[in-house]
Amino acid sequence: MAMKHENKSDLIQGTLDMLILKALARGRAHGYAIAESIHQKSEDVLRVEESALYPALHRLELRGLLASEWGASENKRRAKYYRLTARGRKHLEAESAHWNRMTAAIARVMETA
Amino acid sequence: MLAEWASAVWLRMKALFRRRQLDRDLEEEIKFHLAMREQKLAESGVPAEEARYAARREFGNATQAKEANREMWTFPFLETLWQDSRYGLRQLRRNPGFTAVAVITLALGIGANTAVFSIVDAILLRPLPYKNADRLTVTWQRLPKDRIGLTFDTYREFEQWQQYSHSFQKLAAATWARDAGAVLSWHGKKREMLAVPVSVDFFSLLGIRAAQGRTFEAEDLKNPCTAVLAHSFWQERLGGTPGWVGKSLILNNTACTVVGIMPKDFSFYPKQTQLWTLITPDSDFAKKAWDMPVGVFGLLKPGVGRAAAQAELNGLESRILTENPSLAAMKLQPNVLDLQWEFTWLTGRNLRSSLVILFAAVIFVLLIACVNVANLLLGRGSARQKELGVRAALGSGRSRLIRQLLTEGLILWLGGAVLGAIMAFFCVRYIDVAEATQLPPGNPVSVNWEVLVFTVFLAILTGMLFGLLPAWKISRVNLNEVLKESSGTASRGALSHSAGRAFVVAEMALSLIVLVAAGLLVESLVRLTNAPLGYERDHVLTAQVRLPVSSYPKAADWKRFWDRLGSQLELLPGVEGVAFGPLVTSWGSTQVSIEGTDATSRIGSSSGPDAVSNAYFQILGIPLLRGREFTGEDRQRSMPAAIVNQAFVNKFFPKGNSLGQHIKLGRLDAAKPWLTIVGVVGNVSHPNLFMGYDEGPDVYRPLRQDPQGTLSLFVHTAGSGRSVESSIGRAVTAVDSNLPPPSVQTITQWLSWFAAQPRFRAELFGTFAALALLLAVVGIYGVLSQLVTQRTHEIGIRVALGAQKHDVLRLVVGRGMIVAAIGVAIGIAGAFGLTRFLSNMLYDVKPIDPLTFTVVSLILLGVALLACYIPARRAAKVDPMVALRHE
Repeated sequence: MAMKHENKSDLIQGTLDMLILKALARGRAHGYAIAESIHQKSEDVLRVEESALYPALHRLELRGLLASEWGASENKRRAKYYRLTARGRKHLEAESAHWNRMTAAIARVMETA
Repeated sequence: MLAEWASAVWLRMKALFRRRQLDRDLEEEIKFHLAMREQKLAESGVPAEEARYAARREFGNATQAKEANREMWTFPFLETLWQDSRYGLRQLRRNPGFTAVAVITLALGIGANTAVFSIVDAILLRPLPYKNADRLTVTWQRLPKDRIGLTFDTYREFEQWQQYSHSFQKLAAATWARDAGAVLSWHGKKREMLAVPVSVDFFSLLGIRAAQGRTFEAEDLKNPCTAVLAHSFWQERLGGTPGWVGKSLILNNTACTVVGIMPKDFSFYPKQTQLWTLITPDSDFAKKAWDMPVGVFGLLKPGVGRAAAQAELNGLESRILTENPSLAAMKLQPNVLDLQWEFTWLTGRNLRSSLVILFAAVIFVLLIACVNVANLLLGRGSARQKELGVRAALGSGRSRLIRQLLTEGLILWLGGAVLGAIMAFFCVRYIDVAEATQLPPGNPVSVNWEVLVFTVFLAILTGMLFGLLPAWKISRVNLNEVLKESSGTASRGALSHSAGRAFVVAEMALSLIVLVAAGLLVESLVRLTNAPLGYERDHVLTAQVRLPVSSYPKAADWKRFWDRLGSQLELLPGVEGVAFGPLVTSWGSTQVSIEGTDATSRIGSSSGPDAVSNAYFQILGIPLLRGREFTGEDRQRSMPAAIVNQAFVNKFFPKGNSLGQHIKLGRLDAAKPWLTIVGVVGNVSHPNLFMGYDEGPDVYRPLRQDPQGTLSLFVHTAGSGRSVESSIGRAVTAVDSNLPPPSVQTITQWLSWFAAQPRFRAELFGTFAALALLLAVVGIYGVLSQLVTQRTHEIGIRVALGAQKHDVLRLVVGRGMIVAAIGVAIGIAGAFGLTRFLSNMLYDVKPIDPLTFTVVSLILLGVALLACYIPARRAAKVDPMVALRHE
């Protein structure tokens, strides 16, 4: 069942994963901060489906791209903090290179058309 | 990639045990998220109540997130398996009768395989438990043309090989030939025991250390006698008390220092060896090196093959044998053989092939068991159509149903494996204890973890194979039909009709093959034990007496002893006559030359010469055909006489009269006297190396003219002779209190060891064949009664239309028997093809023995008839009203 789920939303998910990794590139953050950061950076264009955010985080953790730990938040509440692992960082680099090539190619196609 | 996979598995494994914790964590994460969002909204001026709802709304479906998470963190496959297993177990518990029958059936089939595999594993698969087992060899002598006649080497050859051969890292001699054995003096009593003389490197060649003390070392060669004890001997005879190392035992009236005790699990051929003594430079081995038979064991140098070593020894032989022309004339050649292979050969000539065939037989038994259970599953599947229909209606796909059914099947198979392994454990324990001498030395037979892995693997493999077919068939549910209450029976009928018939055919055929194999082996055993040997064996007690050279140095001493023992024995009540002669089971060969037959006299081999006392032929009931028996006139200085048997006459004197002819034992030019043939007696059968009997030419000599220090006594008794047995032992010690009392047996008992391997084989096959028959009967009965149940409706109509009871009986029995007969026919064809693999294990029985085939076929058909008759009678009693309402 889980497999089917992944296949259907492959593109979106892949993108979401990349965005999460990117958001964590500067340091550790909890889920809410990640969602907010993506939201702000994209200047309100990208709105992360919040209920999809957490499964995505856990999936990345399972794949060993993220590590997590519990810590105190800015307002002294208990929050789960995620950070990139070494593998996660490498994965992010590969993904962003790929993404840049893709977008550049798509842009060229769109211009010439 | 692999690391990623491994860490994911690890995290999931952790998650398996922290599922609650994970749920709570996610819950808390979400709660935190909502709180933050709420706070932010509140800060931007949204009222508190409103902010909470907005946060929720924005978050979306939290439950779905949780569920997605749960699935992610676990193994969906394992989860389903777990679910299916629990459901399956519940189903099985609900039908305890079915479950018990299926599990026991499978346990019998799998257990038989586990037991046989543990024997195969210990004897054929695992290397011998010695160091460098793959390089260990034994060297025997054999005639170039003779495939089987292996004999010992001589100690002289061993010495020379040890000195000049470069193929071996180490060579050692050990022997259990002829006078292997020693007399132990223990608390004033004498006991005969199996002591094996070995050379100094024997234990270091095997790479085995002593459990207490040490094994032989070069410094021991200076002592007159040193010994290493077998663990069992120390435990059983010496009470297992510590401190034996360094003490002495009195062996053959000599003090023998114990230097070590071997570990419990150490064994070598012969398995019953009680201690090993060291061959010293002062012993007969060194002094009469050409007369001392030994086996030569070797550790090949790394990289040297057995063929190369053999070629080297053959090269050395041509020089060594110049010392001994008469041995050279026998043209023996050393053969370097693999030690493990040789152990099995020594233990049982056909042990290897019988084990392989036995394995095939138990696989047949397992197939029968599996067919039975597959059929049970099919039968139960038809009863479960409703349940499966409901599940299908609720959205279970066919593959999901098959998976569920297969899981249920596998639970049965694994249950059978567990129970089977327990049964095998006891079975193997029995074999290891009761039949220890029928198994070669080396690894003990045990249900070890390798065997258990095999068992589980076998269970899963057969469970998959035989569970799939029923699962496939059962899962084909026609929703409409099943959910409509009434038509349940119609689909049921179509379900297992053809499959059931195929099952009966397969079971009949398989069990027929196993039964025929067992039947042939049993018949062969019966013929072997009842073979006419040419002499009396039931009323004759026999015992072997060995006179030690130390107290009986001269032939005159021997003669005095035998005379005194003879007169002592004749005085015993219940004794009708006494004779002395060779062991009944002895075999050997000698050269015979015939005077005047040709310029180069024919030289044949014969067993013997056998020195016998005058009464020998009469006591053993060997008929005198021509001439005379030995008498008191055949004294040491009178004419050298010989008696030959009919086979000898047939071979050497095919035309002329043999009486009065002259023969010589040995080559023509040997410095031995010419013997005059004074009589011809009937042939006797000698056991041969292949567990059969041979009649060959024999030469007998009068004991007076050919004195012996080791003889068997033969006492003809009036009744069963039980009462005489112990007095014979006392008579021996009365003549010489220094001799150990011999073990006294009837000739039949004495011969029983010889049939032991065939008996062991017949027992194993017989047990498994009985198992096959039992399983097949249960299976056939099950299939037929199911078919009858399914046809109740049809039978009801027939009865309603006027069919009589016997018509119904004939119908059901007839259909069943046709199927059974097809199975028997296929089985006979299969057995025809397969029994030839048994041919060299059979004595006096052909592999396609018509009697065995007929009897086994009749037994199977009879059993099938019974299995058909019971359901048929039930069918005949069908009340048409009930049967038709049944719809």
